[in-house]
Amino acid sequence: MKITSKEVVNIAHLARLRLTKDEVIRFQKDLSDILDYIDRIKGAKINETKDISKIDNKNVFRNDQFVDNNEKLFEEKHLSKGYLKTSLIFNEND
Amino acid sequence: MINFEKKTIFEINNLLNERKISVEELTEYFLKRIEEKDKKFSAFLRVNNRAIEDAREIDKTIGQKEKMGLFCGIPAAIKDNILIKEQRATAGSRVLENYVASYDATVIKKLRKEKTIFLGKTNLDEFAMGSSTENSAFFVTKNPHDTEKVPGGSSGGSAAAVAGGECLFALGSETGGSVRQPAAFCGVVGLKPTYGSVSRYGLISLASSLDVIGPLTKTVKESAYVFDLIRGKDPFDATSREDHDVSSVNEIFIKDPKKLKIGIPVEYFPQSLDKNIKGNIDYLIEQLTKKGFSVEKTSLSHTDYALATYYIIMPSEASANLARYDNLRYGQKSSKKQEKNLIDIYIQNRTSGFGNETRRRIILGTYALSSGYYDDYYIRAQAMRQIIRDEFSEIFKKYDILLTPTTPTPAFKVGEKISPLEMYLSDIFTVPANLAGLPAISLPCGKVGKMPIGVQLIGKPFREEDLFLLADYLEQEIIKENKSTNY
Repeated sequence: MKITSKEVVNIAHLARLRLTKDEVIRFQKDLSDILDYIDRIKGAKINETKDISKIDNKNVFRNDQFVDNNEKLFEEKHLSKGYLKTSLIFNEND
Repeated sequence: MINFEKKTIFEINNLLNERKISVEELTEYFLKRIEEKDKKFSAFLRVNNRAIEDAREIDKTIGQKEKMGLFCGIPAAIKDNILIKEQRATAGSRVLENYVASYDATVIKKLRKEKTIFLGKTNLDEFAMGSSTENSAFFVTKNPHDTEKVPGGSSGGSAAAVAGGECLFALGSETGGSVRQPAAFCGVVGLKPTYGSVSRYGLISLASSLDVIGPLTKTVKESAYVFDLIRGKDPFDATSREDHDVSSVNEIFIKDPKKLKIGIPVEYFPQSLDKNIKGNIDYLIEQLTKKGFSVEKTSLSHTDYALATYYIIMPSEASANLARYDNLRYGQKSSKKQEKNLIDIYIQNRTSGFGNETRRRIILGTYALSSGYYDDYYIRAQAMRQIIRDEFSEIFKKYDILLTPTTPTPAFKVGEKISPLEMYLSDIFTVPANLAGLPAISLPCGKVGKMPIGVQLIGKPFREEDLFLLADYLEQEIIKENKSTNY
């Protein structure tokens, strides 16, 4: 297989996902199939000068304006006294 | 009793202007159809319970003799990854199951200004990831032509709503064919506009360098008018652009379509192409030639790399875009009271919130972007994307339009495509236009058994009008037998 089960678990962790044992087996097979297909791109002749960072792109700017639309950006249940509520970010021992 | 669902927007506009029907009656008619038909098709995730109120309001404020604009009072369906203020927008995902939009997408603002009626939000593959609408976290939408078959995806709900006569037009979104492929499967017209011609503000992001909003309609002319309404530069989307060379929509159809040079790229007719689809497209080519069009075979030699390139770039961008669903700002708080730390909260919530295909693409994208694989996958794919773009630019020096099939097969059965790769291959003819940012349209060109099939036209950047002109000619002069939709 193109990708090991350990790699699947590691990559999933990087993406903040947890997989069950069965899911690891299934994802390993699916991803290997997909990577086998995608690998055809490695056989393509690509001129080294085709560097994407050298493509002419123009920045588009606009002035920052404060608009008070009185819009609720977050759901009520996520708020407390107007602040966004989360669980502890640091452990008490940090 | 008039079958309003069989009428075009133009015909309905006339009926409204002659005061033969009120906006309220029209809206009620379509809501009733949804109630009845959607038991079979499941195109809508939910109906807008303010639609009738909005319709009454228009009837009340419109003067006795006042002329109504083309879209005034026209009932439309909106894909559920496009934000309508104070309405839910789930993107077909559990993660956003209870998310209520706090603002209107720019396309919605534009429709609202014209007093379009929003009937409801349509089903889609979770975060627009899929080609069959089977990846929706809520339910599977069925093809109105045969409810055992998929409607295509990811805008399957929008395509089914138009094909099933549950609205007069719908908005969908594309990243790699998500308007054109379901349009082909459901026998309707689907437009993927030039990247940047329609604002993405208020569209829930999948892959930002590919995403674009497009209309699904019964006819080509309607597609042109919806596109004309939603396009344009928007200060809220830095990638949106205005092309000043565009003709007024009223002038498109008086031009001579025979001035357009048509190319047929041979790579879009592989051995695996369905024989009936090939036969149908060959017939169109033959007819066009007979009627005096310039039609020539040509070649796009990097077509074979397009799908692989797409399935590196799209998941890479998706994995970054979907990182925002940390469940702190959106979604359901975990029921467990004692999470150890922030990472546990992220993992807990993302693991229970995302479906299989979404997780697969996040993992694939994270893999392609991770150190050690980045150069081999992401960088190579970006370079290949540029080669594909250059190849299109080169070929468009000789031709105005490329004509191809939209899909390699007609709609498949619900549950038939088991492996993800098999599903991905159904996008093989649609992704190149997304990679190159080009406009493309799919229109119905015949049937295989009960199932409709589509022909695709790809055009130069910001030359949607060329597509409309030729597509309208094909529809009116060559493909006459395909107007029917099953009810």
